[in-house]
Amino acid sequence: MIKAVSSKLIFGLTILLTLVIAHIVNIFYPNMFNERSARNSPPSITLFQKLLYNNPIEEIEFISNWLFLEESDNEEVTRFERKYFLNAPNRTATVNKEYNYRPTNRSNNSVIYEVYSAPPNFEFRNQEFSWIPIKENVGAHTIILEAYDQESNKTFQIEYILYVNSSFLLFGSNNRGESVFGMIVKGASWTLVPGLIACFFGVILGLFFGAISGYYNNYFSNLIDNLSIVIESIPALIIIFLASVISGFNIYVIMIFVGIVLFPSNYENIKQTVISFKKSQFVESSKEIGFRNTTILWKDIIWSNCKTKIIKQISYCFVFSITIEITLSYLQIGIQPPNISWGMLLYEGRSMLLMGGYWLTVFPSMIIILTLSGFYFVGESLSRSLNPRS
Amino acid sequence: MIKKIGYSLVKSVLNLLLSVIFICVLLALIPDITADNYALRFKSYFITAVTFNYDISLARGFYISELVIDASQKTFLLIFVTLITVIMISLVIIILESLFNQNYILQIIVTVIKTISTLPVLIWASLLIFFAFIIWNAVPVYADLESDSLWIKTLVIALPVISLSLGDGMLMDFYLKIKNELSSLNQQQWVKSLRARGISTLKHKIRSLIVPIFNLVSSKITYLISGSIIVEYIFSWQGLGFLIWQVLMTPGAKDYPLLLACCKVLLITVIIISLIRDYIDFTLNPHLIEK
Repeated sequence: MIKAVSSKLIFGLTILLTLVIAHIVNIFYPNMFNERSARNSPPSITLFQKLLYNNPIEEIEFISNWLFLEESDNEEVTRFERKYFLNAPNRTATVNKEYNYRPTNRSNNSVIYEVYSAPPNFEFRNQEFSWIPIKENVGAHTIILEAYDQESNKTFQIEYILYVNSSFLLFGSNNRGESVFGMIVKGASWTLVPGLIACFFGVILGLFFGAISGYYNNYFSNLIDNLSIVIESIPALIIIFLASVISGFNIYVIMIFVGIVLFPSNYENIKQTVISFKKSQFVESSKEIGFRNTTILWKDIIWSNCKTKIIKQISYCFVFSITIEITLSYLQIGIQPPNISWGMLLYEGRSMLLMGGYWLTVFPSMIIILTLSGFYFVGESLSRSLNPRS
Repeated sequence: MIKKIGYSLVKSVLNLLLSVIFICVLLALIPDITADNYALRFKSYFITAVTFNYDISLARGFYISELVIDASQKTFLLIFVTLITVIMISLVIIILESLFNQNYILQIIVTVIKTISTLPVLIWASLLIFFAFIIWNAVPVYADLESDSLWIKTLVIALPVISLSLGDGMLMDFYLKIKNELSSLNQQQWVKSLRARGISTLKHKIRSLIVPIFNLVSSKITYLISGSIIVEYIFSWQGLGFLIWQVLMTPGAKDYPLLLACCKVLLITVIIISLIRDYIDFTLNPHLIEK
C-alpha cells in the first residue's frame, strides 16, 4: 500500500487540499485577496509579457477611465482650465511611490493655489502637490484645488479624480480593476460542494440501483434499464441547459440533473460487474455456507470487488461536474454575479483577448487544467493501490 | 435479418417517443408567467412535437423548418468534419507507429496527444482563440459558407474542429479503440493464413474495422453534440446549439416550438445513427450473419 502511494497521488492530494483551503478562506475571510489595481493591468509575472510583447510591464499603457479631464459646463471655468492646466495631472498613482503634480506653467505666477480637499497625509509646498499613498488609500480619490487668479480677481475650484493602484498584482486585473488571483480563489468554492451533490445522485444512486438490479434480475431492473437508455440517448448538455433555466440558474439544482445524466453509465458499469461476479465460485460457496443475500451482495461483491470502479467513478463525477459548472458559467446560464466562477473569468477574458489581455484566459485555464488533472490522478492512483489483484 | 432490423426500428421509435416526452416535461417546467398550467403546456408541446406542426416562429418571423434546416446543416457539417478528422488522425498515428515501431520521439508525441486530449472542450477552445488571435494572428473570424472560397471556409472551420476533436478525450478514445481492434485483428488465424498465402489483408481489415468504428461513433455522438453546442457559442458558429442558447437566453416567454424543434432534430440524429449502426452490424459482422 505504501509503495503504491505514487507521486501522482501526492500531486492530486495537494491540489485537493489547496481547494479545501481556498474554500475555508472563502467562508471565513472572504475579503482576504480582494486587492484592487488599475483596470486591465498586466500580471507581475513578466515571463508571458516578455514572450508575447518583447517589452517590460512598465511601458504598457493602462486602459484607464480617468485619462481625460472632464470639462465643466461653465464656459468661464473651461477657459480657465484650458489656460492654466496645460500639463494635465497624472490620473494614476501607485502605492508607496511619490505622486507629484504642479498645476500650472512655471512661468505664470499670477495664479495662487490652495488645496481645498485632498486625501490625508498629503503635502503642498511651493505650489506643488505631493503625496505618497499607503495601502489603505487604494481606490479613487477626488482632489479639489482652489485657484485665485490675480489678473481677473476671481477664484475657481478645479477637481479631478486620482486613482491609486496597489502596485502590480500576481495574475493581473480585469476590466473592473479586481485581482484575477483573488477571483480565482473565490471561484474555487464552486468545485467541491456541487461535485458532492452530483456524486450523490450519479454514483451512489447508480451503485445502489446497479447492485440491486444486477443481483436480483426482475421487472424493476428492466424498468431502470429502459429509463437509463432513454436518458443516455439525449445529449447531456440539452438536459442541463433546460435544468438551469428551470431552476433559475441555481447551481445546486443543476448538479442534481448532472447526477441524473451520469447515472446511466455508472449504473450499467456496476450492474455488469455484479452480473459477472454473481455466478463465480466464491458467491456460490458463501450461499451454501448460509450467508444472507444482502451480505453477499454488499460485502463480498461490492465492497471487495467494486471499490476501485466506484473511486474512479467518483473522480470522473467531480471532473464532469466542475467542467459543466465552468461551461454553464461561460455561457452565462450558470453562476450569476456577484458570485464568481472560473467560467465567468474565461468569458471576460474572451473579450479582453482583442485588446491583448491574455491573463484572464491563460491563468484560469491553467488552474482548471491543474484541478481536473488533480482529480484524475487521485482517482487513478487510489483505484490502482486499492485493487486487490495488483 | 429483416426481423432484427424491424425490432431495432421499433425500439428506436419508442426511445425517441420517450425522450421527446422527457424533453416536453422539462420544457413545461420552465417558469413562465404568461403561459397556462403545466399539464396544458405539456400537452400542447407534445402535440406539436408529434404532429410536426411548428408553423412560424413569432419571435423571428421565419418558418421554424427553415431556421432549423439552416442551422442543422452547419452543425452536421461541424460534427461530420470532426469525426472524419479524428478517425484520420488516429489512423495516421497508428500507421506511423507500425512503421517506426520503437521511435522515441513518436512515443513522446503519442503520450502528449493522449494527455492533452483529456482536457474539456471549453478550455481547448479558449486556448485556441488565445493562440489564434494573439500569437498567429491568422485565422479569420467569420466566413460566408456559400460564397467564400474553400480556403477561407477551411480556415474558419479549423478552430472549432480542432477543439472538438481534441477535447473531452475524443481523439484518445478513437485512437485506443482502433489500435486495440487492429492488434486483435492481427492475431486472428485467418489474417495470418491470408498473409502466408501472400494476399493483401487491407481490404479485409477495413471491412472488419467499419463495425467497431461505427459502434464508437454511435456511442460518442451525444458527447459530440454536447461539445458542438459549446464550440458553436464560443466561435459564433450559427448552428443548432447557438440557436438553442439564443432561445434560452431570451428573457420572459421563450420561443418554445423552435426550442422543441432544435432538440428533436438532435434526438432524431442520435436515433438514426444508432439505427445505421445496427444495420451495419447486421450486414457486415460475420458472426451475426451466421446466427
